Amino acid sequence: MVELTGEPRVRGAFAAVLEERRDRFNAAFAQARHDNPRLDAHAFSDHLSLRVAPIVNAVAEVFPEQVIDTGAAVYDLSLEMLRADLLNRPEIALIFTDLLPKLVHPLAREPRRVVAAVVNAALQIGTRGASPTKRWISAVGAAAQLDPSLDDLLGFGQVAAWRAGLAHYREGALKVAPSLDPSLVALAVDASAADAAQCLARLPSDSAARTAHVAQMLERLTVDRWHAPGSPQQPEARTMIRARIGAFRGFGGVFQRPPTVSTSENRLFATDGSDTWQISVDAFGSTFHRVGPMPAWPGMGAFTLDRDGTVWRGRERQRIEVLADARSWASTDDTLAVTLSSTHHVFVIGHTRG
Amino acid sequence: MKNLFQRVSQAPTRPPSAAGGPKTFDVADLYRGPIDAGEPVDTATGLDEKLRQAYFWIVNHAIISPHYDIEYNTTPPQRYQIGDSKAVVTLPTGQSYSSFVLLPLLNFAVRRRCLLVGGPGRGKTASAVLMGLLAGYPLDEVHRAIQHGQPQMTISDLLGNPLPADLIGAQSMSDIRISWRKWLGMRVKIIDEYNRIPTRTQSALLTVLADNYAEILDHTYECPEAAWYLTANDDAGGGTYAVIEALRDRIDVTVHALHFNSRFVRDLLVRVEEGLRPEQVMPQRLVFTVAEMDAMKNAIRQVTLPAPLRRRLEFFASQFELCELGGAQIEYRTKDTVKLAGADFATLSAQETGRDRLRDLGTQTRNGVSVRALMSALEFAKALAWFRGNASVELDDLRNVLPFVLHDKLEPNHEAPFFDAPGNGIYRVDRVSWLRLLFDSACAEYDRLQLDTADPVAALQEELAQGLDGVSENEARARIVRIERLMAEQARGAKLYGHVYDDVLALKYMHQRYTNYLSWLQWSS
Repeated sequence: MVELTGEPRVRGAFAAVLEERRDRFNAAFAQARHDNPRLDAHAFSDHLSLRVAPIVNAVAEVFPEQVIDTGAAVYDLSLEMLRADLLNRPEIALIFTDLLPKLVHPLAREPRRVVAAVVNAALQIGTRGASPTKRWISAVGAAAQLDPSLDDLLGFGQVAAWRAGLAHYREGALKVAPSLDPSLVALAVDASAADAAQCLARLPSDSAARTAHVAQMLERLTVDRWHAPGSPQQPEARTMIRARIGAFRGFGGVFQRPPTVSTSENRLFATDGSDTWQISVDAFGSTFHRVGPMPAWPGMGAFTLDRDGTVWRGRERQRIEVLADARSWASTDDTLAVTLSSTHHVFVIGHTRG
Repeated sequence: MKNLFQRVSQAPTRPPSAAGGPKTFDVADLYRGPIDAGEPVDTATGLDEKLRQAYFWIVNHAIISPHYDIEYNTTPPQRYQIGDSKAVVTLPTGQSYSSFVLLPLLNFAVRRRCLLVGGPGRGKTASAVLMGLLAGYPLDEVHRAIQHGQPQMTISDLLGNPLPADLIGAQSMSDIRISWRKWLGMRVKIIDEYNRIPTRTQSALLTVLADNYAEILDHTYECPEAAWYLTANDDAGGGTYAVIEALRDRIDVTVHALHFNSRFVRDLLVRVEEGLRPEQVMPQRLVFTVAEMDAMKNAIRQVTLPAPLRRRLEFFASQFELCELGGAQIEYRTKDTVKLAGADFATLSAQETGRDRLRDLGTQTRNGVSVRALMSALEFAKALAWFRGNASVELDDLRNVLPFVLHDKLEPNHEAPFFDAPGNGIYRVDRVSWLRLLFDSACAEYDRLQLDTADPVAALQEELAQGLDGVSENEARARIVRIERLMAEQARGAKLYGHVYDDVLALKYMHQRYTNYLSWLQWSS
């Protein structure tokens, strides 16, 4: 078996941790390999030396008394990731190289909670693609520089995950946000700032004014699903296509056949005849979650759609030609979903005020 | 944090059926996933899953017990007969369990007293140690807390000592401080080889085990509620000392450490070669906090026992106490009367009463089912149902726990004709199977009598259970008449069986309640 003995390529404090817990670590690895003989020992060894050692050594510089517990926890979790075949995932590599080194303080306090949380979050956000994952990791790293409590940092991460496109967390994130420091909220949701420093610089310097500004931002986000703070101002209120989502499964999308949509309890659903998904969508992104049978009733929302593609919202109307001869449509209080016979996409129409 | 052997299943151990309708999302789920953060479990919903995770971790990694003797079936199972003795092997179609792991775990959940019996090296102590780890104690603390039974064990060894300096200078007993043994304060208590403890020390142990306090020199130590694990290499009185009956009676459940299946030597080889000791590396996520243990016990109490199932248990328990020639007055015609009198049970039970001695389940035992045993059966049946993710007990839950609860409680009468019948000799040896057969036979008789659909005594009891407030004099008299008619019907019946005996006494009780109530009504008006 691979002896994890603090060999020369692992240096510093982590080498001492490996030496201190050598028997236990070796026993754990032996058990893991007994359960799965195909376990890649060399990949694990590389992970420890290239990713884990710098993190543990960074903790040792600030909190030497915590290094054993931190090192042991990160080792154990890394072994869990190896078992789950996660170490070769790009988002996991990013977590270890770009984020955890910035989380020295929370890591030293609660290593297991921190590592497990950011890894699990990155795996979820990773389903949206590399770009949202990088954005989330960058945002959490920036927030850590403000030295919030671990609970606040994790709360920030939840809001930032919603901002990164996990639309199904919208309601939860909007409940969490008011309890966070206004600077953290702005950092999490502002879409326009090039970096954290620019985002924070644009906030009012006066504490009360900053709090009021962020409260107003949250209020707008709560009532307007299609508002994205920092995005270019709309000249006027508009009903328009906000997103085309879904797509053909063969091209990496969701549906095997052109879908139909429906609503239930003010939520959107789509089915391709074989499976049914619940759709969560807003200005920041969309997610699909497989559910049971398609709800049989359409529900009554804020929008209706005419055969010629005219979208009605109360007395307001907006003709959107591409929606003519729709195959199906369904409306919630703030979103209209439309499908066509000629495409696997779901067209999402929303209204936002200027 | 020790968090190794992380083969704790990420999938639900009993997957729920897919639910339709809209999903609601909890933003806290962002941080949940394949990597365990060691968060506390939602005590409202997650504890049964956590206990199942613990079960599967133990059977997969810690105790090599590839025996599925607690069987459940969702569809009729395949059955095979093997060998000249026609040994029946069934392949269960539902999730089934190993009693040697499951029963100690259920005992942990309800915090009762479990006896592990079997030969040396079968994992009895190791199993008990794992329960200590589940309660959150470090391994070395669990090891230090094990009380090893041996012939020189004194009460001081067991409970603690008065401080020597106080003994010299004290003017009264209250001046003497006691250094209590640390194990008394633990939530998991392990007594290894309890049948090697001298009788006097057993009595001191009984006080702790039964009443949850220890006493030395007029000083008492109140112990927390704990799950007890006692081990014995020989369950049949083969220890150094006979176990006092009161101590044996306090044991709620007895579990056999089954043999080691030689097909699993490979697992032993890995442990030898790699120096693996699973108990050193139990996953932290399986550890139960005190709050979780309390919540778990409360949740188990909430599990319901449907009335028809309760009636089956009553019918089963009613089979065994009657000894028709044990007394003159009806209330004293019991095996307990015979035992207290020191009379020869074999002679009395063999005398002809006209009952079918093969069909009469009561002939197979030398005693009846105690109240304590019934309470244990109810508690463990609820625990098993809860462990399986159910809100109410099912018949199979009851059937599966009864043999382990009654193992040392219901004493077989090997002179009964049942044991001499062809093919039944095996039940003299295999007590678990005998007890399960007893319950099955009682259920079959219950069905034959159609008591699920027609049980007039139960109907009368239900009526009385509604209370007497507002019951008129005429109604009370009408009920008395119904009781007397039913009693007359019982008297016309051919034979006095155990369940008839209990019905007769219940009718007498109800008759007395209404008679007293009538007297009170007449006095008050």
